[in-house]
Amino acid sequence: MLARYVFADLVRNPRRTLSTAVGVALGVGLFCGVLFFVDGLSASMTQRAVAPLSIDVQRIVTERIGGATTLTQTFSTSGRIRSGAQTRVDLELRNLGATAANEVTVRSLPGAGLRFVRGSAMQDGVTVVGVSGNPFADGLGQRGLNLGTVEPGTTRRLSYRVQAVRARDLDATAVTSSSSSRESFSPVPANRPRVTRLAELARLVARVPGVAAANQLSFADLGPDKISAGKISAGTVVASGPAKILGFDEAYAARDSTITISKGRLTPTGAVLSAEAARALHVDLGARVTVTLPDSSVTELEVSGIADLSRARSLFSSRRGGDLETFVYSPNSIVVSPAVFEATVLPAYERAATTRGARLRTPPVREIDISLERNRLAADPATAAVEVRQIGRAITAVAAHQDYLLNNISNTLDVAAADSKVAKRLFIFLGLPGGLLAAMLAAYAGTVLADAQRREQATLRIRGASRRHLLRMLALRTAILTAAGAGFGLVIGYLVAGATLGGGSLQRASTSSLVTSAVLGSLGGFAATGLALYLTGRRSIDREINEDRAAMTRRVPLWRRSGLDLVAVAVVVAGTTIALRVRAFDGAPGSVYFGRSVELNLLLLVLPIAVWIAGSLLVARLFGAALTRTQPRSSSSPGRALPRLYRLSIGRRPWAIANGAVIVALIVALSTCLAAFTASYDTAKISDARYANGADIRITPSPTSQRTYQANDADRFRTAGIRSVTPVIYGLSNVILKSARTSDPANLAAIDPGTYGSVAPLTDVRFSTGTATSALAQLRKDPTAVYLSEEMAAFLKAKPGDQLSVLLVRSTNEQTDVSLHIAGLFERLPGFPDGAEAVMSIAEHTAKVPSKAPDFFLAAPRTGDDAALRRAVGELRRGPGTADRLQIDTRTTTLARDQSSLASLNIAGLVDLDSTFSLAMAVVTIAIFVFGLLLARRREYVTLRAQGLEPRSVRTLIIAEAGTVAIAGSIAGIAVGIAMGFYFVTVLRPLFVLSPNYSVPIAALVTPVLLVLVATLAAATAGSRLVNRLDPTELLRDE
Amino acid sequence: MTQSNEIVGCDLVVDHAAASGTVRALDRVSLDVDGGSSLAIMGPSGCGKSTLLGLLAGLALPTLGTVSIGGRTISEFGERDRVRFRRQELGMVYQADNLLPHLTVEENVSLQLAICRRDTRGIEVEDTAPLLDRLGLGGLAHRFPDQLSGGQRQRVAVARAIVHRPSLILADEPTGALDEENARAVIELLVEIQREIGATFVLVTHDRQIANHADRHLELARPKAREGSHAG
Repeated sequence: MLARYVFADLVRNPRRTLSTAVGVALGVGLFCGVLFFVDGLSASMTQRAVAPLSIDVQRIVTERIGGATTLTQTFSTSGRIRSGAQTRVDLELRNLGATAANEVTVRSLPGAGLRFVRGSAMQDGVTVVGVSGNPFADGLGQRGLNLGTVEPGTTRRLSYRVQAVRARDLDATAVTSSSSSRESFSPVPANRPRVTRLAELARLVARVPGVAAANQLSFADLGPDKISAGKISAGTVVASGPAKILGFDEAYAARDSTITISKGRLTPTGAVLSAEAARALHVDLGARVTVTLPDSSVTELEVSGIADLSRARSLFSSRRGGDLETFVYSPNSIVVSPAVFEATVLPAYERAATTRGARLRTPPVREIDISLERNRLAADPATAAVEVRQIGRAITAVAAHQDYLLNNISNTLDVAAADSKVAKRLFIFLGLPGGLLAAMLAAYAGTVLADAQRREQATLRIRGASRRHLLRMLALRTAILTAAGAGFGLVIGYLVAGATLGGGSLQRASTSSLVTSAVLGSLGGFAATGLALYLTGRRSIDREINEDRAAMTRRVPLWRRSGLDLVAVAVVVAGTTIALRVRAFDGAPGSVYFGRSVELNLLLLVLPIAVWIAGSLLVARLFGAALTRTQPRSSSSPGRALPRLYRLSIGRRPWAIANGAVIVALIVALSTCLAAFTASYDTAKISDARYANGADIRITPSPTSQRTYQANDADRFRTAGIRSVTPVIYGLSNVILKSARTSDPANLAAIDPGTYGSVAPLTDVRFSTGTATSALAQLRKDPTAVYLSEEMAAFLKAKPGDQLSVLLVRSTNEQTDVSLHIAGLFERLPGFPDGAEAVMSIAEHTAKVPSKAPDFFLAAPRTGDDAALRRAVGELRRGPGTADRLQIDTRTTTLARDQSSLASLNIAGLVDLDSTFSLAMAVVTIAIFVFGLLLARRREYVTLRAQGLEPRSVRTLIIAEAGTVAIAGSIAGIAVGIAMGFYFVTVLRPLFVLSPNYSVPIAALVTPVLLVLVATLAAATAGSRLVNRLDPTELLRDE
Repeated sequence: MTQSNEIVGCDLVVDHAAASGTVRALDRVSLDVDGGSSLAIMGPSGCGKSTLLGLLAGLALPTLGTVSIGGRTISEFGERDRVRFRRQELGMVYQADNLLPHLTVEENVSLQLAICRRDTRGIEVEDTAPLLDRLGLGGLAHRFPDQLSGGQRQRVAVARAIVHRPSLILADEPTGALDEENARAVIELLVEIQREIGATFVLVTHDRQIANHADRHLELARPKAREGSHAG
């Protein structure tokens, strides 16, 4: 019976039912949407994290040059040895390499239970003399026996006897032996399996399940900086400066899109030259080049191809630990097949290394570069990390003990997994205000409905309904409304999250995670909104009807009576104070290379939420108090009806107005905060990208370009959409700086001080002495001025004013010494990820080295917006880009490359999702307020009509009251949202490389405010039409 | 010659649309009330008493028939003219006081003057205090409705209905929620003031003793169900 009544009540009051159910649906939708969003995002994190990785896994061969010796250990007896019995240990050392092994040392140590038999040591059949104990482990340092030089192809035999102190097995641990040499100083254990050749190793690794491809790569340095240096030449022309010889095959080149063979191909016997080397040697396809290797041997090769290797990260990324992200490009490079490298290049380096007196500083690197089947990895990075570790173990098990494994993808996924955890918590925090808002909205709807149902409940009581009956009806009504709302919310949340993420992200998410989110979101939303709805209704039932009516105009809301606003303010003040004192806002940015995820103190995210609640309630407290103060005193003076009615209505019911304003303020504040956060985030990310790129646009002539650009060629790139262009000369270790105390290779940038400042994002704080403007003015005025990085100045023990000798374009035929004086210091300059250490005027550089062309040009579009950037790039491609090959990098492409950290998460997407729901909730709030107003006051409005007030005056009155709520709530919301956004940006600072500037986008604030106002007008207009359609005769007659 | 506040209703029919079809609320009722006189309408529940009062107040329009007040056919007025008519010519009292809960006694009463004044700038607004004193509400002017007894509230409602000196006073069960003593006091007050200001007074009541205060009685019968009126 009760159920039928409740059901009929819900069906016959569709506006009440719909407004409450829509409120619940939006709340649950937002909460589910956030959870689904996190699922979808996590599902794409693996692919996004590994996207920038050039090599998934590397097996670096540790067998050193000249280390082709093997040591075999056997026993004269086998099995178990009795206590007191003796056996002979036989050691056989062979040099299987092509060169002699020098200073070969054999070390052998009996294990537990065995004792060396004095005087039993033999070397090639001769007793070893001069050592009283074990000559293979002599003295405290347990030095081994030095055999001197072992010629290639020869075998040395050693032996000694051991006696068992107690019975034991003669297994691999009975005696521990190893060998080392000058060339291979890491001891190599005896009986180690034969080293597998690189080609064979690649073949074996490629068969491991989960491996997509395994290719061999070898490379070695050539050039004047290296001891036992080599060179590349063609006839009498030599490619000056450092050079590199690489060994890989076409399969390797095909899998790396950054290797571009622009002409010809890589053949088994030919060589591919880098475009820069081909230009330096004046050769083309079919020409012959000579490679002089470090042992002075000469190899002549036919040029079978010319390649652009200038962006090949897999070839030129540093292999030094802790420095893996550095791109060490060598313009003069020659590529040969792996077979040629192994047959010709490697032996030459072995020979150079084994030459007495010579020492190879950087021996050849030989490795297997392995690509995994990325599309088969789990979508979740934590699971994917476990999978790649298993694959890594399988790869290591193949021909083990001759190399070590660099599991780059595992490191990346570990960081991504940690980032993913942070992201989940972060997103739930960002979504939390929405959830809270939903509960508040439900509570507000409950309050409004409870007021409206007061008369119905009173009627039911008169007819004999007990409190228990009313509570059961309330519970039933709440359950039906909340269940319906939660069901719709679940669907809405899924659809909106899918639409925001796009690209089938949700399809990639695991079913279990989606089901968990659906259950958590709908049940959580159901519980939160249902409880809020039920409790407000229960409070209404528990109040006496008369008390309710009497107190209606004067009752202060619960939050105000309990001082919730003051508690929230205290939380903000205390939390901020503590956070500032312990420097909790600082955090630490993430780095994949250092295996460190972004450190966010998520406890701090409580602060923005506290600011939100405290601010909104505090403003409502002030607003309510102000309205109470403006309450007119009782007067018999008629005055003008409408203004008087308005003043009396809001002045005598201040907390009803303030409560409505609180909800509007909370919603507008959330929208404002999200808009401000997005704007600050976007601005900071663009600034980060622009800083890394050096400017909005970076134009680099391709190495395969046939043109040679000069500094004044900057004008060639100036188009209608490009405001300014500036040339830059820059290179890694391209100069040697020499102070009065010391000298060091350095990265020097030569810039045009006249135009650089208008293109590059310079900031004064990056200059330790003076400002950016004064530094550029100094460089323009004084051609002999140079600015040094603080770090370089400290290393050189130099200070501003000191003279500096600078060897420009070092290691080239044009290298020249100039004397410059230090004009000032800087901390960091934009556009040089490796770090420029010195800056001078390009005019002076060109004057001293006329042949040196700019390495790249930086350009600025007319305006800073994305459309202007796209227009400028389009003009460059259609203009100068058709005449020559240009590599155009922009802040956008730089940002897209940096997709491996938490900073690249789709926060904007989440914010869009939050904003969409917030705006919808704003509309629903206003609708609930207006229709609640009508439900509660329809008798008042109809009485006024009967008294002769025109319908339009009634409409104006409703609009004025709702408008007061909307305007007051919006103004308060904007103020609170700005403060809340500031806290969000401050707490999430570690997401940014540069300190973000907090920006509030005025245009973005207009949308929610306009929406609230339009919704107010629409709801009030619709509401007043309803009032005017009511039958006064019936309504006024009822008691 | 027709007096300025004479009420004439001719063959008034009111049909309401309902889910089960058309329901006749008033069936061919005619009435003629002289200006300045009073009429008590009586009849069983559902006979259309309140509906008839709504037609006289211009709050509803008849399906058939006409209503004229002082020679003006208000049933042919547009909404704006009917609003103006109510504002200037009409005072209404209901069983429920229908006072605005957030307004004090004097504000509830003076609000009618404020509404009225918009279109009658030449009329000087009277002070409400003497009226409240006369109705025994002098000391309650600053009180809110929920601080008054039922009888006091109904007297405030009467004050609100007559403060602007209307030419027509309509009362729908004005004593229905009051005890006998208060009921008599309220009806006597209404009749006294009606005679004083020369207004025409139409009263709906179940109570014959109350009805006896009026000059004439009109007994309404419950309308017969219309044949073929079901909408289906």
